[in-house]
Amino acid sequence: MSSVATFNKFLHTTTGREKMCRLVQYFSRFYVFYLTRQGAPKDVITKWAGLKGHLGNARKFFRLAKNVEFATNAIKGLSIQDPVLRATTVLKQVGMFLYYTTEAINLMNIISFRHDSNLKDITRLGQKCWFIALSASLVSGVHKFNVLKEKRQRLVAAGEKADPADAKKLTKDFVSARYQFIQDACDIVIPTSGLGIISFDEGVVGIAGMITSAMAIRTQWNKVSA
Amino acid sequence: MVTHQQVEALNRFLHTTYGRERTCRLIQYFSRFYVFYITRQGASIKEIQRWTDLKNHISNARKFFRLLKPVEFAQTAIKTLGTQDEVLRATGFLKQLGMFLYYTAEVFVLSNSIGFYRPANIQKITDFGQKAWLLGLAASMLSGLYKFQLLGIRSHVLAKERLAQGEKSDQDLQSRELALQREKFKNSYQLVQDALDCVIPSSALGWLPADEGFVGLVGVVTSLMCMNTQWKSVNP
Repeated sequence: MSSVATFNKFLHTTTGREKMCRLVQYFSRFYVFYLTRQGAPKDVITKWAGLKGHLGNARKFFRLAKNVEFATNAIKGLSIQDPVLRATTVLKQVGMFLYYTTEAINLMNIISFRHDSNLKDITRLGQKCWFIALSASLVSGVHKFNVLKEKRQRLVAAGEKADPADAKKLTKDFVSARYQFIQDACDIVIPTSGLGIISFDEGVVGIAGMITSAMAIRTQWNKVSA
Repeated sequence: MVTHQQVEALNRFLHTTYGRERTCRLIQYFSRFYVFYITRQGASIKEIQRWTDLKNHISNARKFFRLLKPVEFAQTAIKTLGTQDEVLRATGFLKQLGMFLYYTAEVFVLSNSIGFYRPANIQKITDFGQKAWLLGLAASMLSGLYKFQLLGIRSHVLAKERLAQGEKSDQDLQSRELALQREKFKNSYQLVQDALDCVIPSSALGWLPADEGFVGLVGVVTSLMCMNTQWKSVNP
């Protein structure tokens, strides 16, 4: 499939387009920090800060009904056999559900459609939920590594009787678990800084966001071109 | 109680950029109509400002999400150059070209409205974009009318076949007749949608004296029509 056709297909998915906007948004966040340090003129900084703000709003609009997806995933997660995976999956989905709900309320306030007096508390709750969801995902990642290591040992022990397809699947699972773990570890920088647990500066947050957006774009691109 | 399948269907619809974008378009044009309506009813300035802001913010959000769409239209335009029928080739190409130019102009409208890049002749660019949109719609309507002629000929041929068949029932003939009916419906649907959509750029250019309420309602109807098409294509 030609690259242009794949490109269009990629942009046709909400996730694809949204992650691209996220990439530009977090770049703007980093760039504003960089420009401020370099002592750039005020209107240039305002320009990029405006872009960041508007992109953030646009993305919030396009994620408005996403919490429905997380609710259904949470319910599906309740039927996973493995107890650790079940707990962490449900926690992650519920966390993201609450986070996206607070983001919707946040958006309504930013565009002055609603006015909630306790907006700061709602935003903090959202950041906490995102943090918890990412932590749950990291714990699930560590657990997955252990399960996969066990599987690998069994495969090695089986020796010649081992099925080559199993070995291939194992490698694939390892790669995808590692990818997800790195993505979550980078992402957790953002709410950590947002909650003030560790005060990373805007530059670090921006770069972390750019890395995870690029990783998400790559995943979505592969999904679309499969 | 909402069923699991209904929720899945909604998620599938919202997973496409087009589905989400048309939903936002629906809210945007509704706000446009609603501002007009409540102004006439004499609502408070705060209320009017609230819905106007919603309209503006959604409009910007939509523009962000259509940023690289010209690429799609350029690609389709090149593909249409390979159509056999000359009339369909010309109208198809003009439609894609019109939309390509419109979406390119919208990029500048967006960069201007968020203060990122303010070209000096923004009014000219905006007007050019509206004219390009109108051109695309006109080309689409011409193609629709021409397709009606072609469909009429096919229906004539099928009617003759049906007469020759007489009492016997033929699966193949029936399926072809059904396909023709579906195509006719699709064509009329598109024609109505394009004709309605024409109101929006025409009023923006000042060629049609339509008030904000009317434009808003037209936008609501066409958004619903697009959403219906997209829903059916994702949830057959």
